Amino acid sequence: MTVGLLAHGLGGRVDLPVPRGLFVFGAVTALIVSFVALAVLWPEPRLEKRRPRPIRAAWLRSVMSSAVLGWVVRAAGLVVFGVTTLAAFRPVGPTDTIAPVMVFIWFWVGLAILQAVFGNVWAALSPWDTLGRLLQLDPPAYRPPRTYPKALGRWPAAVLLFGFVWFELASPLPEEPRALGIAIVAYTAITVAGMAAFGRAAWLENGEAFGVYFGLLGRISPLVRDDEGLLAIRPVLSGLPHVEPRPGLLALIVVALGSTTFDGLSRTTWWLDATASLTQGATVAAATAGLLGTILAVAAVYSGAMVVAAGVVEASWHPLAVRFAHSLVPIVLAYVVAHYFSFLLIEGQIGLNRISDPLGLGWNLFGTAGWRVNLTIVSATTTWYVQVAAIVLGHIGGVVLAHDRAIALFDRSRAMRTQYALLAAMVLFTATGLLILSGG
Amino acid sequence: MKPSARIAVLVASVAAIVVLFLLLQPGGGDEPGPSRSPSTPTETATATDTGGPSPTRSAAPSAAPTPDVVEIEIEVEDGRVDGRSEYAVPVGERVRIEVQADVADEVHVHGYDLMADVSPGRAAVIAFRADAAGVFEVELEDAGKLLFRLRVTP
Repeated sequence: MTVGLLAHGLGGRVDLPVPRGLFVFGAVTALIVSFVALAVLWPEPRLEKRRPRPIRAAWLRSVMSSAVLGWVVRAAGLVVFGVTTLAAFRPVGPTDTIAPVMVFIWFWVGLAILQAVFGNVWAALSPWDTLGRLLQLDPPAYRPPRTYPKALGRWPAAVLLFGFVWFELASPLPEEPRALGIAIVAYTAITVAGMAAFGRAAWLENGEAFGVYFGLLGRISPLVRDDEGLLAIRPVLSGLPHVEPRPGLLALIVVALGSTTFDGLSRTTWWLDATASLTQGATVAAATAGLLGTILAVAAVYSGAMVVAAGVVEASWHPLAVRFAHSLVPIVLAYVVAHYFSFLLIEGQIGLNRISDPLGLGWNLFGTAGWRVNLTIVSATTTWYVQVAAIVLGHIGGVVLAHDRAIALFDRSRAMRTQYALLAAMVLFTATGLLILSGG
Repeated sequence: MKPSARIAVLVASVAAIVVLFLLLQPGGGDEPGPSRSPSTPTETATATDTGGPSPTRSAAPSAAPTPDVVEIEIEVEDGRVDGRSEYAVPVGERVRIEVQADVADEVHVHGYDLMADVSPGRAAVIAFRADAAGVFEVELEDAGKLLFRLRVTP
């Protein structure tokens, strides 16, 4: 028995394993890159101090600062959210409405990749942000009953993100009619309550799981909205060193990395065979344990590396671990691309079909209701190349960011020595990612 | 390290990576065509007639130059699946899946999204050309029971 929507309703198709040759290529390339990076990368921090440069084109300025346009986009976001929520309550199969495709493919995977390319578009679209604005939960006009406790940091977002990935990957709930609808309403209630308790902005940057997660991915992009709201450009990845090292940030990143790893693991024939004969309850238990175990394993590997690095510079490891956490974000993106690239392009087509009949009522709004999924839109070979390229590039991004942070914090020789352990951890993540991709 | 040495190291490592890729890419070296897969004929399941009402279809005789049809026969009894957990076919091959079951359900080939009803005494037969590569689950839909995985390889 299969568990989870990805394995069943929307899924049921898995990529072919990456051939051994490409696996070896990816792993060796990651190793070469790591050692070469130590030798040749810049001796002064370069990404840390970079400030985005605004694009001063007049038309772009008027587009970006148009309040009307801003609200049109927000209204569109709210409409899509409303339709999706409504559709998620329809007691029909997972591919009969737009809801599961919208949530698990277009939003969770598609938007994640979009963020990394175009910057934080979610900030302009987020229906929860819009709700907070409509309810006028903004200080100082609105006086929240309490101030957000600093020590809590991003922990609420990390916990809620775990809730989402558990729902998606381990629970039997996506199979249940209406469960997705109930989950969306519950999450919305939590978010509105959080905004009411602490103010809109405070909750969005600490407790709104998707906002925090997508916000991190958006920092990979060369595009950003600067303080004046103008569109600005910056070197790729240079947004990440500006992430504030807050409690819970590392936990959120580790949840993101571990959950994608587990999803890959749970699609290997090894896992499928091992869990094939379990009862549903046992399957859910196994998937929950697998998900938690993978997340903890990622945390252990990273923490272990940071303990070693901290020993080198005689610092305590935890603050150091938080200060390097942003260097894992490119690897998070790499895992998302590698695991979900073909899923987005193939199963994502179900959304093209369902957009004409979002509630599963037999409509044909845009004439695409008869669209049949084209399985051959990406070949197996293309998928393999994209997967290996993503993993290797993610590794390079991580190494570069870690190097930049290390030389910003320490003198050159200590900086070099702190990096060995972290490099080893990154090579391990990369090799594991490749191993899972080739182990189907 | 001097800038010149730095550039030399960079160029050398890029060259090493390129060479590595040329050596290790799939189909690198001597393989000519895209759709060669020598190991597959052994995967062809044999069609043994188990009696009972025969399904409505037999291997299509009319198609042009006698295409090979990979036949996969599965039997479900008391919730147990009689068959291998995975069958492999090369891309482009015609596949014919026949499922006998002692329960009424629906056989679903995921991805290709093909379905056929099955009931005691009435086999489900699904025949199609496996045009897309990937690993596809074939399930008893209502029971949520995995029958086997169809591995379509380029």
